[in-house]
Amino acid sequence: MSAPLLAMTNLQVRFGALHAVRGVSLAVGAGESLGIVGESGSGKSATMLSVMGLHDRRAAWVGADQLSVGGMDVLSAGEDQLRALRGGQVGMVFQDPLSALNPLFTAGFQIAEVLRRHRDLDRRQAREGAVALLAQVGVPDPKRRAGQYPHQFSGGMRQRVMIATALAGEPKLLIADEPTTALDVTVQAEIVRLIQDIQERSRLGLVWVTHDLALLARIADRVMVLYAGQVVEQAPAAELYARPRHPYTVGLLSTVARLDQPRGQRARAIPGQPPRLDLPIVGCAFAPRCPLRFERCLEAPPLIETGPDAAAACWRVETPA
Amino acid sequence: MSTFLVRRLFSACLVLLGVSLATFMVARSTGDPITLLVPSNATEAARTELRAHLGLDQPAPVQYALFLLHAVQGDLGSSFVYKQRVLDLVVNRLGATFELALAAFAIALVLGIGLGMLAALKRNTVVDFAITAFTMMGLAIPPFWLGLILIIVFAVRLQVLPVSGSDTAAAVILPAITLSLQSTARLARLLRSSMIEVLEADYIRTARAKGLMGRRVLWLHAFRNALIPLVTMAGLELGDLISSAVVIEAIFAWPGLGRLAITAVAQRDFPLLQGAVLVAAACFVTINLLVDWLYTRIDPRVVLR
Repeated sequence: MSAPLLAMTNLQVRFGALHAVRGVSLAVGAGESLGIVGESGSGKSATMLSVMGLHDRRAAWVGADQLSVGGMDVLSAGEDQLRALRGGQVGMVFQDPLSALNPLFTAGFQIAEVLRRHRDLDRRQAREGAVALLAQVGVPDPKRRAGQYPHQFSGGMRQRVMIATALAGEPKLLIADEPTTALDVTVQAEIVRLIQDIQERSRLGLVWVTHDLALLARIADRVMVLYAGQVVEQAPAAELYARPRHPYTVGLLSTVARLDQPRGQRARAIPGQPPRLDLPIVGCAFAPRCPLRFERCLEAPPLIETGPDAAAACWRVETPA
Repeated sequence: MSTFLVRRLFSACLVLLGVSLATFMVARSTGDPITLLVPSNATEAARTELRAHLGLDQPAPVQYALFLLHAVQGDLGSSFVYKQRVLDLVVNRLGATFELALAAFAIALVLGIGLGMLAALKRNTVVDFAITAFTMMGLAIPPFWLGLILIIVFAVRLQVLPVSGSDTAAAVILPAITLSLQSTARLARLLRSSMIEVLEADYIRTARAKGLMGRRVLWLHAFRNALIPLVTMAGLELGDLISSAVVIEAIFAWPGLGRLAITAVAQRDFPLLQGAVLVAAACFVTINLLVDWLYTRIDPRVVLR
């Protein structure tokens, strides 16, 4: 892998006393797709907002040994550079397109303003560009739809509009933060396919954030599992599904294996709660919920290599139970 | 749209009917106007004749029915005291009230939006606390008291502004400020909270994630959304300003509808009182109708029906 699009080493994000991200490192190159999985509060969204410098500086403290996008250092970047990055270098698709799109402006307008901002188009060109983008993301009758407001679209169509806005600036990196969570299951598959098509065609770097490990099997080259703001396991997708090494990943996968189970039960599959993030974590963060814990877990495990490009933060890698 | 209009016009008529009935009954509970219209040594025959002349000898329901019958034809009767058509008197004074209410409304909008935005953007800072303290005071201070204080300071001591009347353009300043204070405070507080809420919204994060300029995010994406509750409130405020003007007009001797209504009450001038209240109510209803229409211009999700 040559110079990665996104390079992050030891990212830390704090909201006051709350230590949300505790040393996440990752890299994504052109045409690669990375899946990040974790339950809510695992720090996955906070990690992704850091990439675009989108945290409110008054509320959040962000630090890292390295955080660069396309070679540009995000942490030292000025507001102008960050604005060029947001929407230009990096496009972002959010979870709930109904709340993520402004209710007072038409779909066409919200796409066109990205075109005008990042592609230097005039008003008319931008309007035509918006219609072309809507067609590209599979919105039927794009010319008419461009003049409609978000509430006039169905959930799936709305997410297509959101994707079109994210693509409008011709970004090299696309961040999808739970883009299918708010959608019907049948629509989910269409959106997944659409994003995959776009990624392959334009050789985008893709980061797909989700709590749904099953979904990532179809999307990601590599998968990273976050727990309590830390990376607990990372591996090529096939490897991770075949031989999960961290007990937390095993727990997640054992619930995934029974796909016919309703959502509510799946969440209860691993007993216990994640640790409080406003307190220091002593030893392994997962230990209190872990079926395989032993004396050594009082000491925090580092990421231990388990294979080529694969690692798990668990002492059981060295001392099998 | 047209069914909306028909429905709203129908309900507007009901409102005006209710207002007129209430005014009619309350006015007649204040006493007999004849005693105020004739000299105290007038004969009983003269009183009876005047009563018949003014139509006050009829039973109350008949009087009310006649009033309605004439009102729908645009005739609000004649003033007992001024002996002029009520409609002419009211329309004459309406301009002055509008001038005062609109001046106060303009102050309330500009100051309210300015202070509200500033407080929201500087939330939990000294600026925000100062503005919040100011708005609390604005709501707590009775306008008539503020009016008197302003007169003492600016008109009597400093002598920079006229005490009362409406002869010069500067005369509108003190009454307009007095009248606007509570509206300013309410609008500022409303905009502060709605702006803070909007700034937390997902679509604002999206707008920033698109790399838009901070100014554009703030004034186009956030402000327009924050404006939605403000428009409803502003419409109510304008109606409220017209009715609150009654007291302020009395303090500043402003020749408006309110002062006309107060004299009408004092003199038991029933037709004039009914006319003044009815016209004020009609203004209120019309403003509300306009606000609802304005809503559709701001928020595409709103459909009138």
